[in-house]
Amino acid sequence: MIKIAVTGSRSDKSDWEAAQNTPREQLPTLTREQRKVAEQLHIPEEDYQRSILAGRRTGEKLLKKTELFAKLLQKKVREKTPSATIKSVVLDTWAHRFEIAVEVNGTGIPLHIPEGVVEDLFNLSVTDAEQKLSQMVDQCFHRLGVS
Amino acid sequence: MELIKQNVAVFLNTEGRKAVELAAGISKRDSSMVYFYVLEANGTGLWVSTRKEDGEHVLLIRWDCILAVDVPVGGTPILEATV
Repeated sequence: MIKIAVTGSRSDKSDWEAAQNTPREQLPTLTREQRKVAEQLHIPEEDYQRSILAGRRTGEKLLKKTELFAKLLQKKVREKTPSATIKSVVLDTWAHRFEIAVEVNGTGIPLHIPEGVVEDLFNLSVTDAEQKLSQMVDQCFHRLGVS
Repeated sequence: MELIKQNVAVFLNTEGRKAVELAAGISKRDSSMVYFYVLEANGTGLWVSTRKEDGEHVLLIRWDCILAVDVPVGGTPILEATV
């Protein structure tokens, strides 16, 4: 079992546009706190609702991406070190990187990888992304003395 | 701090307020703090998306017109799952 998460906030343009075109009655309801903040910042409630919806849509896509990456990484790590287990993979959208917790023989190892490297795995024009990921895992484990 | 793809509340100075009133058609009453989707941020300022009657427009707000930027991060909960 791998815990996956997405922290921070981001809205892809396509999700932002979709949120702008969403009927008002389908927008998420603001909490009392969110309504208060919208008022303080002079943000029309509807605009705030649409931005929250866009953030949710992108967040769900990023969570799916994190899941696929976590499963692939688990496979690569197991190939290299059968005793290693991926405990968690968290995408930090502010830092643009994935924080990874690996456990080897009861010892936790914190790793991270730039989001751009993972993005290449989803880019049809990048044909060697998986091979590069395998090399990175190999080199990193070798450097840290993990076997 | 990466502002691209963020919805941000921008606090404008007097010059900035006049500019968005003219360029984005935002009323004087609401123009000191405006809420935008950021398409790009560079040394000149923020390129933001605005909507007008004929559809989307892209507006540049220069940094020297901006007093502060508020990114409401707390509005987005942490998404998590177990796989």
